Parts: sequence; C-alpha cells; structure tokens
Amino acid sequence: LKLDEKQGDGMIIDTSALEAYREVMGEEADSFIADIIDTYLKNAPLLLNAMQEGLAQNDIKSFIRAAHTLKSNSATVGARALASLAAEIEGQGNSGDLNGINVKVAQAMEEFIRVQAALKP
Amino acid sequence: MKTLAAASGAETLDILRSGEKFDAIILDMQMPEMDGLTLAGEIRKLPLLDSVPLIMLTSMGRRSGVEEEAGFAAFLTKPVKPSHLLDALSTILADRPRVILQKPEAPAFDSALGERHPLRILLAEDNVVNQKVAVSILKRMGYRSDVAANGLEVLEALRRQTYDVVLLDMQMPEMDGEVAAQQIKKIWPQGKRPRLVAMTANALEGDRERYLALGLDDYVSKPIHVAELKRALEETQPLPKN
Repeated sequence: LKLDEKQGDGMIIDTSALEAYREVMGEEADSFIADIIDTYLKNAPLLLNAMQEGLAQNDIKSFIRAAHTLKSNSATVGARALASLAAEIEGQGNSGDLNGINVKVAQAMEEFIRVQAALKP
Repeated sequence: MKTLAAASGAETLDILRSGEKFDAIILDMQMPEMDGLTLAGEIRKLPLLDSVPLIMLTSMGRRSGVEEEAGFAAFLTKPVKPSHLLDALSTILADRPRVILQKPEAPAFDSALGERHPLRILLAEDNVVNQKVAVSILKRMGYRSDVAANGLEVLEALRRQTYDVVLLDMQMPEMDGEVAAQQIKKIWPQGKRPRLVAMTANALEGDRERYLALGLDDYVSKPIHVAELKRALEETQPLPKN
C-alpha cells in the first residue's frame, strides 16, 4: 500500500480508512484489506459504466444508485476525492437537474484512474 | 452506567490520557494539589476531550465568569442530592450521541461478543464491498451472518427463520430498506420481529432521527465503525427461541 498520496487539491487515498479495521481484523488484516481493495477495484468500473448507461438510457434511478454505491465504496477504501465527487453526482441526480452532469461523471472516471494507480498492489 | 473514580486531578488526567472514553466527567472543586477548575482546564487541552460534558461539584456558591470558560455542563452544590445528579446527567447525556466516536483508530472490539451475546444476524446489503466489510467484522466479533441482497430477499429470509437483528442498507434495488422495514413491521408484531438497524452512507445531519421516525429501531453509519456496530449489537435483545 502506498501511503497518503497527495496530488493537487487533495488526497487520493486516505489510508486511515481501511487501517481503522486493522485492530478488529487482527492477523487477517492484511488479507482483508487486500480483498476489499481488490473487490473495490473490480466493482468501481462496473459502477462507472452503470452511471454512463443510466444517463444514456435516461434511467435516472439506476444512475443515482450506481453513484450512491460508488460514493459509499470509495469512502470505505478512503478514496476521499472520488467519494465526494460521487456524492455530488448523487445529490445532483436526486435534485433532478442533470445540467452538466456528464462533465462530473467524466471527472469521476479520471479520478478513478488515479485511485486505481494508488491502490494497485 | 459504568463509572470510574479518580482521587486526584493527576490520576484523572492519567486515566484520560490512557485513551479511556467517557460520556461525562464529574469533578470536585476542592481537591488537593489540583483544584477542579485547573483540572477542567487541563482536560479541555487533551485531544478529543474539548467537548466532553463536565459537571462541577462545589460546596461554595457559583462564582460567575471563571467557570464558564471551561464550559461546564452543570454545577451542583454539595451535598449532592441523587435526584439532582440524575437530572443533570440525563439532561446532559440526552443531548449527545451515546458512543463518542472521534478517531477511527483503535475502537475496542471484543472477539467473544458473539459467544457472550449470541445473535442471529441478517445483513441486508446489495453492495459487495460493504457485504465483505460487514461480514468480516461480524465474524471477528464471533458472529456468523446471513446476507440478503434486497428487501424481497430479506422478507424471504425472515419467513424461513428467526433473526434477532437485521442490518438494513437503506438503498437497495428491488425493494429498498425503507419499504422493507415497513413490510416487516406489517407482517411481524412487536416482540416477534427482529430489531431493525438502518445502515446508510448518507452522512446527512438528522439522518438518525429520520430513520428512527420511519420506525427503524437503530441506525449505524457507513463506512462501518467497529464501536458503533458493537453498540448496536449489544443493544439488541435476542428473540425467544421457538
């Protein structure tokens, strides 16, 4: 794990998020953290796809849910910037005003690439 | 309610520095070496203790000014009447979250909790990352949990067997947590239904109140905090075995 990679306006990965589980996970902590990161990295691209699909198909419910899950999972692995971007997207989806949302989804994709690079073992 | 007694200001500070957490601290104004006011000032300087409620016991009348600076939650005149202390504590604690979660690090956990306080747990969560986190933590606490991926699966699982508690993600596909909770309350009467604990990644202010108003019994936030989950489980009373 790379520690506290910083770039531009914020932290890509706040490692304290997953490290918080180290005590409870004990001797299983390393494999637990690796498993969560692996699951996250496999799952997030599907969520980003689902967001794009949702927008393309005008299926706003699926779009919001994918953004919500991306927010939740990004927070779990400590991908703070991506989590707050996803939260913004979710909030905008809920508001019904989708003006400029494509730009934010594209930003989320770019941020995920940074997250991926930081998290990859 | 658990209490811990310290005989002096120095001893109090030692206990607090060890990381022990308290919902309230009661201090005496006249103590040898370090008086109550000085101690209160020292407590306020400790990390994470700048807002813990302080209750001052004094045999003198209140002196205006100085005391306010340390932000006392209550002043009680000695000898303290039990009813006054109870009033002060319930007023103060009612305003605060029961578990003080300040830092993600080092929440005490108990690997024997499942043995000491056995529960049948249903985890209602469609998101694989959260599923893994919750199932793994529960396992380390000594609990085996079953997983349902949406509200319909929750209802099916509850028809099949008795669960003492459902950890219910509020945003699931097919049937979300809110609808599932309403269905559960409709089908199973109080005393026969599991405790319903909302889990949500919406960190909005007032969420807790919102879910309690919707009829859920408790609320934990996501990402899961070990101490918060432990509290929710400890507060769950198992249903009678049939």
